[in-house]
Amino acid sequence: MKGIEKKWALVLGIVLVLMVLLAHRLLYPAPRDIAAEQVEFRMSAQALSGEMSQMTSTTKYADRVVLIWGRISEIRGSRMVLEDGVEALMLDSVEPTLEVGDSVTIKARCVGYDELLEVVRLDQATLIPNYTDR
Amino acid sequence: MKKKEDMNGLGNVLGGTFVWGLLIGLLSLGTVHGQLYMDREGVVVFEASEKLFEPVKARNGSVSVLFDPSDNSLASLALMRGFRFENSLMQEHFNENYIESDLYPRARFKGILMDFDLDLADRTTREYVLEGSLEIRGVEKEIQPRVKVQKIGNILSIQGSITLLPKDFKIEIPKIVENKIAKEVVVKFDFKLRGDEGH
Repeated sequence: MKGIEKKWALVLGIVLVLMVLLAHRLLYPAPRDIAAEQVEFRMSAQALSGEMSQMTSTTKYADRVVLIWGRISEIRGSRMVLEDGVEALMLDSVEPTLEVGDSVTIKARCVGYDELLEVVRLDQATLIPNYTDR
Repeated sequence: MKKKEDMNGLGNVLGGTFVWGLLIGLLSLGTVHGQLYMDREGVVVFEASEKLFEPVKARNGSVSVLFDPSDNSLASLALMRGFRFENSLMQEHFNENYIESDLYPRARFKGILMDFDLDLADRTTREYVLEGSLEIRGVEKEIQPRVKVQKIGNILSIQGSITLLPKDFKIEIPKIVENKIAKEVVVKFDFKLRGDEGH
């Protein structure tokens, strides 16, 4: 009899722990890992900034994962500007070997179009080295 | 005939010089009075936390700000999707349910830094009133936050905070989370605007 009670207590305990874990998982989902997500749009920096500057709604690209290539026109801290029209906040710092004028491909989340500075903003950007499928 | 052509040529050259002189004059006027100050990485943090509950707080470090000292006008833009929360579920709710970021992707501010004089600005922190209109979710509201202004080299620092009410921007907080979100939202901003040239 005692043995059975112990077993039930154990099962109940495990179920409780699982429920707490599940609740935690639902309330605090893991943050998005843009670098691991599927790319939805691939294009040059000029094409993206050209299209977004003309759009009345940014829903097509906002919050989506994009793969963008272009020449670096500016480097500031952990930010890179591509072709004067796309500003990317890197997930980590900008690769120290990179210089203005270098051609790069990045994967990032599109935040939206900033019409005050006329620039597309990207964040959580990672460098995709040796990308050739342009 | 040839002489006439020469004369015309001279006229063109003179006319050209005049136009160029005017252009250069206008451009130099522009640099003296129209030098813009810009921040591409302005910081805006908002907090609507209630004691005992999980902090409701987000930060956007990619806010753009332009300041024109010739008329003390200031314009700022923040992309709503640029606000990052610790809790990603909260971020999702913020974008989908409260702000509706797909419909209203940006917040804008346009205003005047009242009684400010760039020539008098220096390392000493002085207080001014930043008067203007803030647009969130397509709703405009007049605000007059007090801001602290300081100028170090060619960097103009503008810091301040405002208290906003969600209902002012037609943001409805559902009953079920009413206790967890403060009635007043404190928005702090920290702008470091860089001038084109050192003064």
